[in-house]
Amino acid sequence: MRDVPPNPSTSLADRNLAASSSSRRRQLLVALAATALAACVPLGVSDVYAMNVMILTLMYLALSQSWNVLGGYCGQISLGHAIYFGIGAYATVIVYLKGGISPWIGMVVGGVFASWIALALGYFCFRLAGHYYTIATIVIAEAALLLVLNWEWAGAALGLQLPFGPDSWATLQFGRNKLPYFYFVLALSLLTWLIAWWIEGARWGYWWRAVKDDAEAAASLGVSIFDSKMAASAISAFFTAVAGGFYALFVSYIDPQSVFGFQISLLITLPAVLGGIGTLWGPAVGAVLLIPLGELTRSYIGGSGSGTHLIVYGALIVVISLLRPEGLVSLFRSSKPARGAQA
Amino acid sequence: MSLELLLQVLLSGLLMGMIYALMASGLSLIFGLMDVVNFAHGEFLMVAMYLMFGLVVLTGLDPLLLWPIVTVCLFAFGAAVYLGVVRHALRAKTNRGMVQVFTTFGLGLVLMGLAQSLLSPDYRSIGDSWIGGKSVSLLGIYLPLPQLVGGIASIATFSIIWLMITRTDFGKALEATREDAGAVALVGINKDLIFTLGWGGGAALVGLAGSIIAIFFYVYPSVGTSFILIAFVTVALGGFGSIYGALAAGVIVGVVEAFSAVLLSPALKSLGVYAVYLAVVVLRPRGLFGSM
Amino acid sequence: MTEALLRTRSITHDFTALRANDDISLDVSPGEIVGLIGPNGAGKSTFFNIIAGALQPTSGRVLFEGSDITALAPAERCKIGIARTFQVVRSFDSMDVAENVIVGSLLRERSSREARRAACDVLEFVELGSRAGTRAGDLTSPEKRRLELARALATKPKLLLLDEVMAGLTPTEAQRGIELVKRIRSLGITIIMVEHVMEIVMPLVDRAVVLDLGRLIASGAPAEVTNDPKVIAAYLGEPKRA
Repeated sequence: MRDVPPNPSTSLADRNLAASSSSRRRQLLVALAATALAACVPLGVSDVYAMNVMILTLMYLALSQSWNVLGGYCGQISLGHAIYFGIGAYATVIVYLKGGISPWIGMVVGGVFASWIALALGYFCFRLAGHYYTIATIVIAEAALLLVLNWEWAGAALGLQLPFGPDSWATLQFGRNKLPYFYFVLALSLLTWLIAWWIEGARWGYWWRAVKDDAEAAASLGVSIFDSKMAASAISAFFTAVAGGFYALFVSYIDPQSVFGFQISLLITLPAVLGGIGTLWGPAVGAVLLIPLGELTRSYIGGSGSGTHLIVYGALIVVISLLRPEGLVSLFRSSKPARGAQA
Repeated sequence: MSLELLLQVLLSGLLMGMIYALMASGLSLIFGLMDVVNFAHGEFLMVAMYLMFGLVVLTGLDPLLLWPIVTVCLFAFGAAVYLGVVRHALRAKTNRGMVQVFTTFGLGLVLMGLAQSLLSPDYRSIGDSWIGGKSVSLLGIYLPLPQLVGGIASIATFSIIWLMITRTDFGKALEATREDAGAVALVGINKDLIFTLGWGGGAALVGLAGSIIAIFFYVYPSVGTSFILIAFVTVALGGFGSIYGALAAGVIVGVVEAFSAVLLSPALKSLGVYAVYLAVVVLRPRGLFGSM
Repeated sequence: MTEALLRTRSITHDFTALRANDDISLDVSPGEIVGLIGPNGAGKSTFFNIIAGALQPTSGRVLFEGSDITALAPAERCKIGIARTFQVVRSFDSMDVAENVIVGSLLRERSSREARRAACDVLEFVELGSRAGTRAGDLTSPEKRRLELARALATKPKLLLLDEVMAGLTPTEAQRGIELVKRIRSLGITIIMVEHVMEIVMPLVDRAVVLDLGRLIASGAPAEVTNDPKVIAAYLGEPKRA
């Protein structure tokens, strides 16, 4: 193996390394500061409705960041992430109801199970390129919805209800007080962000983005396309399912349509697409804009039957896809120097 | 299962399958031509169905007289969608895969939302017409007339497509575009024109399918989502881009669906179809007739 | 004579109605620069892609350091030391220049930190250091060719396959390219380069291999080959076939 001779003045390497690690550190600090700031918000907000919207916003932030791992970094567009969300929700509730096992464990069980499903799905669909995967995700999520709708043991179409218990962190049950849920989901959001942050600097992150941009060129550099996609989908499914488990505990009642339905896949995907797929901040920007906006259109312009929210969502993603394929965060980026060294 | 019931289920599945094939062929045509999946295909169907419904209400004429108008309108609609939206999506430099998926997908959401807010989420139906609500009986087997007419229309359409592809210059140009976009530019075929016509043609096919489905099925804003999955499965089963594959796959899907409804339960009729889809994805990922 | 680094044995490749490669056997020694030339449609790209692993030959074998790699996928070939560039440049446009090269250097480095260091060294080697922080999509097309070279070099190949890297360059840029290829060779890397224009490669290569209509018609020192009547005939015949 021959080496390119190390440059006598290693200044470029040093500068580039310094620039990239300081930029990464800055990102981390911003994220921690934003989380700290968000943690203070409930101190000034007592309105239950506003609290619910904030919790949902953070949940979709975490979900969309999880989706982003596969769809954004690795470029495999899933429109059926509801299957992982639903698995997480059902696993958590079933493990608790039928086995009396702590929902904390239930969420992990759901996550692991969802990862298996993702790997099985990927094993067959990733052998083919392009839109096959996207289509398969839609069909398989729909098939899962149908199955659960007819699964008597799991409540079929009626769904499952968690029994009321005393407020407790052990069971993650809180009757009126929504604050613990807020902090739980805030921590989950930070965790998914940290995963994305870690990926950006890790081996897998470079490989995944290479696979997304040009799979053939990636392969020519020794990147295993199949392994990359499999790893990305397992991680993505795991955290989607954990958030699904959280949702089940938060609303304490789930039915197939509300956790396996297509609207869930849609709301998981949209924040990342709007904010910027394959970026650290895209899902956050997208979720903070979109989820409250969706709630507003629902409450003020009319119920979800009016279709206004569909027009808003649809128009936004068409416009963003055509005009700003890198998402809203790219509006901020142009003013700052690009990541890496400016020699 | 008695022989009569068996034949009954088989024939109704067969007819429905041919209508599915017609619907899916539009999707397959566009994909085969330019490797783009039209995620708004279901909403194209919805638009066609509302158009048929509206024309029947406005003119009082029978759907059998109105389908050419719907088909032509959908052709124009498809061409406009290509020129107005899809063409720009093809120019994307970064995140290409995502742009292609979400432009058509977003368009579908907008169309569905528009239908909900302008036309209300109500279920509507055309009701009785010359063939609507009627059926013929053949040796004790009842065949609904709209589906029968739909099956015949589907066979006629596929025959015409076959003739067009094999006998006309346009068809040959189309095939050439599919084979190699670069070579096409060399021989001076206008790719943009071919794509515009392709989208028009794809939409016209779903327009014809929608005209027929509107005669016997409810018309409502999310009707497209009920059919798009069937269309996806049909196209995946037949092999993306293969028009004839779509015909064969449509028939398989129709028959499987009909038997699932009888053998499992009507609520689970799609499950049989999804199971077949999964089996194909596992065993023959390129579809039964796909080549790549 | 040292043991050949790469051997192809009776490579034959058929497309639907066309035999693109017909019984091509070629040995490449370590340290050699081999120019693969021939008129349009000679089968150069097909042969190139078979060596790179992007195409499977209909029959015949490819051997690298004595082992049969005919069935090896492109990613695996890269791991054993075969790197390539593409005729149409394929940069990773959502990443910056340094990150593009890191994708390559990660193959040999233990951490992404070391990979970044190695990538920067390679970037300086191809004189692209000043563009390390630029988005790959914003490079000019000669710069993108350098980026592709850097990416391939970062995988520390023993054999480097260059697919028309000089195509479309101005004479000045081509001269810079030639210098770069010479410096790559001085690292001890064996090079096979496909070029359509003979004049560019002839001064650079140790040996020219000429394909015509899928067959290997000449192989030898550039001066010999350019005077070979078969080669002259092949190139003279070109306008008629084009």
